Amino acid sequence: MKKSKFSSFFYEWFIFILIVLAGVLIVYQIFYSKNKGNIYYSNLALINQDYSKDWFLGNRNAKLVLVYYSDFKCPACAYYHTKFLNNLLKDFKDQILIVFRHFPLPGHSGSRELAYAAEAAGKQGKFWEMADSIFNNQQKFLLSKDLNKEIMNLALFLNIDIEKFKSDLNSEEVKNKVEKDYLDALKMNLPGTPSFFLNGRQIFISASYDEFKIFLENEIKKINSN
Amino acid sequence: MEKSKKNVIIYVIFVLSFFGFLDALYLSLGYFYNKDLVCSFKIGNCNDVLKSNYSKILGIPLAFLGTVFYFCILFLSFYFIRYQKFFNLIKFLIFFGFMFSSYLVYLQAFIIKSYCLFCLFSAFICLTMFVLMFLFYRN
Repeated sequence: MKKSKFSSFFYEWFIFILIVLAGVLIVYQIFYSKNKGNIYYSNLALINQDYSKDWFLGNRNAKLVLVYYSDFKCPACAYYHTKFLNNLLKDFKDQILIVFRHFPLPGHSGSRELAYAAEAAGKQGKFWEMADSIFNNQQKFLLSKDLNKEIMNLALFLNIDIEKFKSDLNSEEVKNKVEKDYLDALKMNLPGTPSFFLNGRQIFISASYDEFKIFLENEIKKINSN
Repeated sequence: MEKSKKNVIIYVIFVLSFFGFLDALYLSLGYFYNKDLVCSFKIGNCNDVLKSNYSKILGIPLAFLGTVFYFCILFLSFYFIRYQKFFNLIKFLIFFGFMFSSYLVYLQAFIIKSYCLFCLFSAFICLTMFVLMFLFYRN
């Protein structure tokens, strides 16, 4: 009697542990299959491939064209802007064209105002300085209770004509530019920011710059061998 | 409450807490290994909730506490099925879990203003366990 009680005790708890372990394994599998960090294209084509009016970095005639839709209050955008852009320019020099487009998300209040601020600074030739400043100090903007004050502080720091800046901030031209990018993003049903397009095709990338660099080097080889 | 009724309820709670355990485990993994580098256009996205200021208590991620909670119920309900002990402890845990998960739903709806489907699923599990334990109870 004792022996069978003993073994049934182990048998039951063994089954229990098996059930729990099976559950853990299933979850692990599901989780890791959804989180592969790799690079792949989707079927989505960029609807506006005229970059003549966009802010850009690099070479206008480059074989690699990277367009990214960005939101100034999105931490992911800050990550890519601060960690990828300069390295891409350094590693690919005149082989790459980087184009900035606006996609201020509805869930981020104030990101439209920041987009207007960058465009207004751009009217005085300082778009990238403003964009870099915003992304480098994004925490401050995310926590700020007075966004306009922060924007004005940045403008002062950039040494631009403040009156012109204020007037451009509210101008139709600046607002239309941001709206156009935003509407294009909506038309394409972009899932969020940042959204990347390489040579007109949507591309999903990982957090690894090195992985992206190797991928781009391969793309250049493919283009050159055609 | 009849012994057999108790057993049936606990069997169901065992199954429910198993799914709650898987759900919380998935969220815990997401918390520790999150590679999500994107801000979503749609509101109602898990990242808003999981990265909010409310996702931790005393430095411990809620998802992890949830995993521990569900595992306790899983373990205790299995123990009850086998040895008929700890029924009231299970009851107490479920009551506490339901109260706490209701608070979390309130946070999502009114404070964070964004929903995470996995969190809502867990809340649903807690609600179902609560209903079973307290509304099917007839002395």
